[in-house]
Parts: sequence; C-alpha cells; structure tokens
Amino acid sequence: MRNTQHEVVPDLKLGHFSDPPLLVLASLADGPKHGHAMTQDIQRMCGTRLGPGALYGAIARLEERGLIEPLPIEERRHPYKITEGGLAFLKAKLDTMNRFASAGLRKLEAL
Amino acid sequence: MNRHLVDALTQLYPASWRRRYAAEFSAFLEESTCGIRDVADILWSALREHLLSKGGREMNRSQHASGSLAFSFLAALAAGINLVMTVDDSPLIDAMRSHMGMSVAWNLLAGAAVLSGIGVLSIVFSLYRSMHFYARRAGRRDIIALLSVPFIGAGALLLWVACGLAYTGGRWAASPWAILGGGAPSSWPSLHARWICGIISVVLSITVAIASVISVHLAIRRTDFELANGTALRKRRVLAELAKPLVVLCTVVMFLSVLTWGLALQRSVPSLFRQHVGLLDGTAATSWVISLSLLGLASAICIRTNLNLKNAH
Repeated sequence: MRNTQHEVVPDLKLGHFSDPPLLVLASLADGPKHGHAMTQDIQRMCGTRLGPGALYGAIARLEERGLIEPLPIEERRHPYKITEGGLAFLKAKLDTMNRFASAGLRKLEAL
Repeated sequence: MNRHLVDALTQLYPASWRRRYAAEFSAFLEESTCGIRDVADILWSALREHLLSKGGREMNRSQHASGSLAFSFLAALAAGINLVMTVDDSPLIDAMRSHMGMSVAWNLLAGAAVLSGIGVLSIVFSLYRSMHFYARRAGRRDIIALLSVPFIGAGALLLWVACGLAYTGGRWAASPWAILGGGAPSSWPSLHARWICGIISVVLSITVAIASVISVHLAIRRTDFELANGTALRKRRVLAELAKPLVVLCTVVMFLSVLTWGLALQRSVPSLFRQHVGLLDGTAATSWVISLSLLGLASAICIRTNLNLKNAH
C-alpha cells in the first residue's frame, strides 16, 4: 500500500535513483557546472562514469522539464544551474532514498 | 576525439536535438578521450532521442495499446516461426502424432496463432490506414517512407532467401534452421557456407524487425490521428478496439500451449528434446526456450497493455 504519511515524489518519468538525471541534479546542487565538470563530479561522488550520450540525454530531459537551466555560453560550453523545481525534486528523491536506506539498515541490524 | 568522428556521431541525433545541443555536445566530445563504450553510449542515446523526439506527437492510450499489441505480436510471430521451423521435417512431427498431450497443445497453439493473427491484422490495418490517410492528406512523404520500411525489409529478406534458393538450384534455402551439422543431404552447400548464410539470415531478420518497430513507432508519433478521421476509418477503429482483448487472450493461450508442448516433449521423448534440429543447429530444447521466452515477453506486454487500458477506462 502507498505510504501517505510522507510527501509523494512527483513522477516526472526521469527513471530510478541511479539514473543519469538524478546524478546530474545532485552534481548541480552545489553550483552551476558544464558537462565535463559534471562527469568528473559524478565520478568523485559515486564512482559512476556517465557516457557522453547518457549525460546529454539527461541534460535534455531535465531542461525540458524545467529542472535545470542553461547559463550564458562560455567557450562553446553551456554551464547549467539547477532550478527551484529541480532542488525540490532532488530533495524529495533523496529523502525517499534516505528513508529506504534507513529502513534497510535497521532490518540488517536486527539480524 | 577526432573531429570527423564527432561530426558523424552528432549527425545521428534528430534535427531538433542538434539545433539545441550539437555545438556544446561536439565541444564536449572533442575535449574527451572516448572509447568504444562511449561510442556505443552515443549510438544508444541517439536512438533514444529519435524515439523521444519532440518533433512527433504524443500517442493516446488507445494508439499506444495498438502499437504495443502489434509489437508483441511481432515477438509472438518470431516465436511461432522458430518453433514451426524447428519441428518442420524433423522426427518431432512423428512424436507429436503419437502423443496426445503434445498434439493437443500444438493444435491449440495453431488455433490461437491464427485468431491472434486475425486480431492483430485488423488492429495494424486500422492503424496503417489512419496513418496513410493522414500522410496523403497532409502531404507527409516522411510518414509514407516510414510506413514502407517493414515492407522493404520483408522484401529484402525474401530476396535474400530467393537468391540462396536460386544459387543452390532450389536445393537449399538460407534458413538458420537448416544447418544440420551432421545428417545434411549431400546436395546442400558446405557446412561452412550453411553456417555463414544462416547467421546472415538471423542478423538480417533481427535488423528488419528492429527497423520496422522503430519506423512504425516514429510514423505513429508523427501522425495527427485527429485529422485522420473518416467514417470508414472510425468503423475500422471500432473493430480494432474489439480485437484487442482477443489478441491478449490468444497470446496467453499460445504461451501456455508452448509451455505444455515443451514439458510434454521433455517428459515423453527426452532424446528428441536434445536433438540438433533448432535455430543455428541448436537443440530442440534451445529453440523451445527461445520461443517460450519470446511468447512470455509478448504475453507480459499484452497483459500490461490491457491492464493500462482498463485502468484508463
């Protein structure tokens, strides 16, 4: 049964927790970045190396849904920044992941 | 990354995507050291962008269901052809005659396949007519070109098989089910040639199937079904709506029949189950597993589509 006690994460069809859009949002949470900086930051954060196709696919999806926006171009590169909607979406997703991780760890500790 | 390769890879994306991202994507690639994995990632991503391209229209639930059912029928058709070609001209036919359970399951499978085929044809015919009607009315040659891809693909496949037949004087068709490592007639081409031709046939069939699915999907997305609204088309659409539950039921029956058939064969004549009469000289068991998996996939798509439609109502 769906838990109604917590805020329900809006379904923006961005995929699962480990999917590129969420990684891009998490990378942009501490400030604007361009493509290369994002891939390096994501690799540092979780060891995942996003391919160029996956990265720009995620950027296109997120921009289309208004969760990130491009900043003025710098040497052929567009930095991107997370929007208010993107921050709210990321927070909701991370809260859900946090609850899930806590519940899973509690079960493991009870073993 | 090499400039020419960057340009070639960027060109794979849809025009609408390129207008927005090509410059920065090219800059990103030029500064990167990309390997085979990255090239594969870009190919997959470009295909995905074509499927999601906003140049098209959103499908409504009914069109989506029709498309899903037609695609699941394609999987069921592949499963059926694989099983029929495995059984054809093999000792499995005699075994089926002498075992009631296998015989009943086979006949049930054949009946469900025919009914499902009729249902899918009515759905696909209705979809094709609507899309063709719109394409002609709106002068959209791109849609007509996309709709012709499955026919061109099927033609290429037939031509390939016909060339093989002509080359061997009608003694052997380039069928991946007629490789037979051991007991092949001496009039057939060499085993090496049979393997190469069989593999080409499989690759060609898979390519045609994938190209057909993508092109029809794109054609559906580019069609404005609101404008494709003739009275005759509306009547055909009602028929297509009625055919959907029939297709779902028949696909599930086909899956259960193939499951029963294989289990009965395994229990009654296990030696035949291990005989090399299947796809690319595989065993009957391998062919059975392939067909069962394809039908399982088709059934899952059908059931999910039907549930989605019910929830929508």
